[in-house]
Amino acid sequence: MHDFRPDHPGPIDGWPDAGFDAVLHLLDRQIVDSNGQLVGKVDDIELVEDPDGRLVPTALLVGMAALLPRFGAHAFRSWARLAPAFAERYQPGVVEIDLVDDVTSGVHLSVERDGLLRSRIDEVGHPVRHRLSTLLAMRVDLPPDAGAASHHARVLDVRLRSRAGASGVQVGALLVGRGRPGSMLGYERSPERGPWLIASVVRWLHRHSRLVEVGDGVEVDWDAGVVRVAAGAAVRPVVDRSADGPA
Amino acid sequence: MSRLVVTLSLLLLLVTGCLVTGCTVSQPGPADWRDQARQTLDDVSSEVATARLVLGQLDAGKVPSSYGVTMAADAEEAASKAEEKLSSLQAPASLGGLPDKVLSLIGRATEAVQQAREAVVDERYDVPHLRRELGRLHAALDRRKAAL
Amino acid sequence: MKRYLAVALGVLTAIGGFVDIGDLVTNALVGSRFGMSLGWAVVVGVAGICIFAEMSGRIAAVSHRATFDLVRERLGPRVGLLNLVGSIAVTLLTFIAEIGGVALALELVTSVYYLAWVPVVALLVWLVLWRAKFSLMENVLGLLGLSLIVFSVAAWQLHPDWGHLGHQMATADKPLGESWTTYAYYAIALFGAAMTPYEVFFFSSGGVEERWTTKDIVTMRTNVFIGFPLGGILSLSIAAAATTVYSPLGISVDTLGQVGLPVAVALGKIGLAIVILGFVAATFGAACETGLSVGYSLAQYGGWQWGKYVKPQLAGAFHATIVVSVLLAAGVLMTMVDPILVTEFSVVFSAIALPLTYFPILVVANDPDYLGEHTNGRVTNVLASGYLVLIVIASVAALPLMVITKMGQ
Repeated sequence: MHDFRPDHPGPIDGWPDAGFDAVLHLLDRQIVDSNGQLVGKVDDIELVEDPDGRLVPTALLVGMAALLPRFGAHAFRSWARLAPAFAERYQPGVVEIDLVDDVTSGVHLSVERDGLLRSRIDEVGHPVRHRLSTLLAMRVDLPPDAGAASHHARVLDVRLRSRAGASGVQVGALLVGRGRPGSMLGYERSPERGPWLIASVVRWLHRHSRLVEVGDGVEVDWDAGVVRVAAGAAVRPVVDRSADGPA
Repeated sequence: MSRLVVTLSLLLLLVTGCLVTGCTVSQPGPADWRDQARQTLDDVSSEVATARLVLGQLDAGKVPSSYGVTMAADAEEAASKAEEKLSSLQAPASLGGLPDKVLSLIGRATEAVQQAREAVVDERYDVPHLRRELGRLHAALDRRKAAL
Repeated sequence: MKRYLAVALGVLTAIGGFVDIGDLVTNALVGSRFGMSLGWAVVVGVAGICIFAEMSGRIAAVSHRATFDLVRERLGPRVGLLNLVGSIAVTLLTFIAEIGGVALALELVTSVYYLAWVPVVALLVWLVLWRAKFSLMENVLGLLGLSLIVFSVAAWQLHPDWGHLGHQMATADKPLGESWTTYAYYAIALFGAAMTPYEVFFFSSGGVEERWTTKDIVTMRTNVFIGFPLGGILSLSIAAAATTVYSPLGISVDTLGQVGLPVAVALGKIGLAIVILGFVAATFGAACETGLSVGYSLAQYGGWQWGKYVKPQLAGAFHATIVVSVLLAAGVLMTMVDPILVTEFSVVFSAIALPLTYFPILVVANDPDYLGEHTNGRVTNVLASGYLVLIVIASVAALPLMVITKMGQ
């Protein structure tokens, strides 16, 4: 058996340096090993704060311990309580992001799946690790002049951009909008995408969604679970309206 | 997760609620009873016609006996189930002697279907008398249903 | 030459595999009670399954991802889970009905009570799913299922008044004795029987199993656009045969024996033998497909290794799911629940679950990240959007209609 990849390049053309949306293009995607065998889903993504305070994706997290917290803390606790003796179940399996060879409709690894997944064992002085799902569960406090619905705003997606002066990507902007119902299904990426019916409904539901550039005036408070956006921060509409009308 | 649980249980409650209210006749009024009687007459008439058709096809050698036996047994079972459903329903007093008449006709029909099944199992296919009887009952059931 | 043979084989198995217990029972029942006046619902349903099966097949060929991969990716794990539970429930219901259908067909041959057949059939289904090669299973059962064409021959031999049947179908001429709510209920049931969600799970996962690439899109389209409509004509023949024999006698179909009897009336014992072979092949094939679909859906949601293209040892959880489904189905049937009743439930619940499957497929079929240049064209999108609206209406209306009509009485 061999790794059977689509002939189509996929959403992240030029991995690992091209920008992409973490939720839309990576989260919940199928992980495939170098033999074409299926490993699991990208149940969560590990984000590490680098010394400059930038958030960098460092690993894919796999397994119930990564998936269940996304259903809520209660689901995870109940599951852990089922068999306390098997404590390793509380820790998700980790796939370092360097092992990802390419991202097409699946996440293709450069290694075999056997013995691949281990939990993270950190030494003293390790970097601060977060999970993407924690960021996605956060409330967003927007300034009143942002033009967005300031109530119930949440992080819907995280736009990753290539890092200046280093390989890989970092968190560049946050897609912020009403929490429910869910994401924009990719319709924010290309305004002309059909069918008209779904595209219109999604755009209407997300008419108040905004893209918040990470930088000055944007503070992610991991302890309080809040993203604070100050008045001067760069906030702009998600869909590029200039591409909409006739040229 | 708790939201999920709540949504799911609400949905489940709604569905059971609908089913329970939709599928029970608590105390049948005359109209309810007539509806059920019409339904039963329809069902039994269909089974009578089936039994007659199966006998005819067996006699013509168009159907192997195993197939005929299964069909005749199914018809008998369905007819007696339908009969039971109606007879277990409390008939409203205001209908007078009508329920008894209907039930006795249905009883005769079920019995004829049973005879048909016995004939099929015994491989007696040339039973013109029974076929005529089934035909008469079929017509009588339909007339009764139309008159209700 | 070899390529044409492959295409022909694909079309033939698509026809033979199109009809399952839901189509058999619903079409015969509707034919006996409504004549051909609901034929339009079959036509609409078949056109719908063509559009959406083509989309899911195209997605599988280009991106190598099957339906539940898409569901989880686009809807996320929470909504995806609700979708999974709904879809698996409906597919399991269909699985139970199919196994019951095989057992009923065997009872017709042997006059041994169907319950005695249930464990045997369940074991055979499991063995096929565990051992048989995917393409072998598909081709053998699909070709044997073709014997249901005898329904078309029978319908023709019964010399019905074609003008009358055509008129009924063209004008949706509801018989006087039936109410409009019952009529609508059976329209939805026929729609659900034709568009059963498992067909799309199976079709897209099968594409991945058979390692389709963009080169196979033409073959896949030929199978869908020729095979499925011919399968639909088979469905209409079943209805036509039933209405010709049963309508004048006032019989309404409620057993599998009644579904096949019109063929005996027209063609005698040989025709009947062919029809029973068709019953067994079609329901057994559909049992395999639904059993696999349960495993596919769960494994694709969880990201486990799935499929018959790998050794069973490499896809343990997937095969374990299938074992559990088989045991569950056999267990439910052993409670003596009427398989025909299960079938009637399964087609209506299929109609309810339709949007869960078809919405994510339509979204992804428009996503250039997945499909590059193979995204939907304008015509497909207009048709598919129309169907999405129709599917939602049918889904919402199904349960209330079921309650109001007491399951179509």
